[in-house]
Amino acid sequence: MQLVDPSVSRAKLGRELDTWRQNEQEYRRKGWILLKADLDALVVEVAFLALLPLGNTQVPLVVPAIRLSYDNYDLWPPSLTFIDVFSGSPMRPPLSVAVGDGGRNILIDRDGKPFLCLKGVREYHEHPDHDGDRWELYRSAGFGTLAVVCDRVHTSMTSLVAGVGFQMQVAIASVGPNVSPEDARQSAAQIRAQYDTNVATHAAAIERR
Amino acid sequence: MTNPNSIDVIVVVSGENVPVDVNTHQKVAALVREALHKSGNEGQPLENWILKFDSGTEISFNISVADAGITDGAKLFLNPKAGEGGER
Repeated sequence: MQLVDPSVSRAKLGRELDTWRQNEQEYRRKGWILLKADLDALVVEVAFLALLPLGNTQVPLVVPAIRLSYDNYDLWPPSLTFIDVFSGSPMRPPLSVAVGDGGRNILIDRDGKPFLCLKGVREYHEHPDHDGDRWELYRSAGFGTLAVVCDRVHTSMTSLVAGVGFQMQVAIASVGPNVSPEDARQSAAQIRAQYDTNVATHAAAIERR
Repeated sequence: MTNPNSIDVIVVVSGENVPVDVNTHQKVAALVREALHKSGNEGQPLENWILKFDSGTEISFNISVADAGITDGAKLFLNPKAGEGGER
C-alpha cells in the first residue's frame, strides 16, 4: 500500500544517510557497518560486529545483520528484518534473546518472524498489544531514525556478546600411512561434533546473561 | 576574551549533529537541555533521554561537565530512552 510519495520518503532517508556519514567513523568503531543504502528501493542494511576473544586474538562476529525498509516513511516507521549477512535473505538472528532496558526479552516471534519489540520499529506499532501506542507519539523525538534504531539493536543484542569468552579448537584431520580414510572421516566428524557442542554451550551462556 | 572554562562539543541528537558550547562548571543537564533546544526537542523531560560517550558509557546528568570528563571537541550521543514491549 503506497501512502507516501516515494520521493518524499527518499528525501527523508537521504537526509538520515547524510547525517549517518557525518558520524560514520564513530559508528564503525562501535561495529556498525553500513552494508547497503539503496535510496531507490528505500532499503538500508547494517551489520553489527562484536569482538570475541579467541586465544590471543579477537574474532569479529556479526550479531546481527538487519534490513530496514522505509516505504511510506515517515508516515510509517521503518520495518526491521533480520538478515543473513552473506545473502541478504531473511533469517533468525544468531541470538534468540534481546535484552531491553527493563531486562525483558524484546525479541518476539510473530507468526514465525522474529522482530524487535521497540518503539520506533514498525512491527512494534503494528502489534495488536500496542494499539494505543501510536508511532506519531514518538516520530518527532527521533525514535525511528537510523542511528537510534541501530543504537537499540547494538545495546539489546550486540553488547550481550561483548566480553564473553569463546574457545574454538582448530584441528586438521590428516590421512597418514596408518590412518584409513574411514578413520579420518570419523575423526573429522568427532571434531565437528565437539565444535558444535562448544558453540551451543557458549550461545546458551550468552543467552542466559 | 574567550572564557577558558567554555568548551565546544558535538551532541549527536537522534543521529543529528548539534554543536553546543558549554561551561565546564555547568551540570551535564544544562548541556543536554541546550542540545535538545537546538535540535527542536525543547521542553521534553530529561529523564526520557540518555547521553553516552562514543564508547557507550552513560553520562550522568547530575554532575558537572568537567567531572563527567567531557572535554573540548568531544562527540556525545543523545538518544531517546528505549521504549519497549517484550516479555519477562
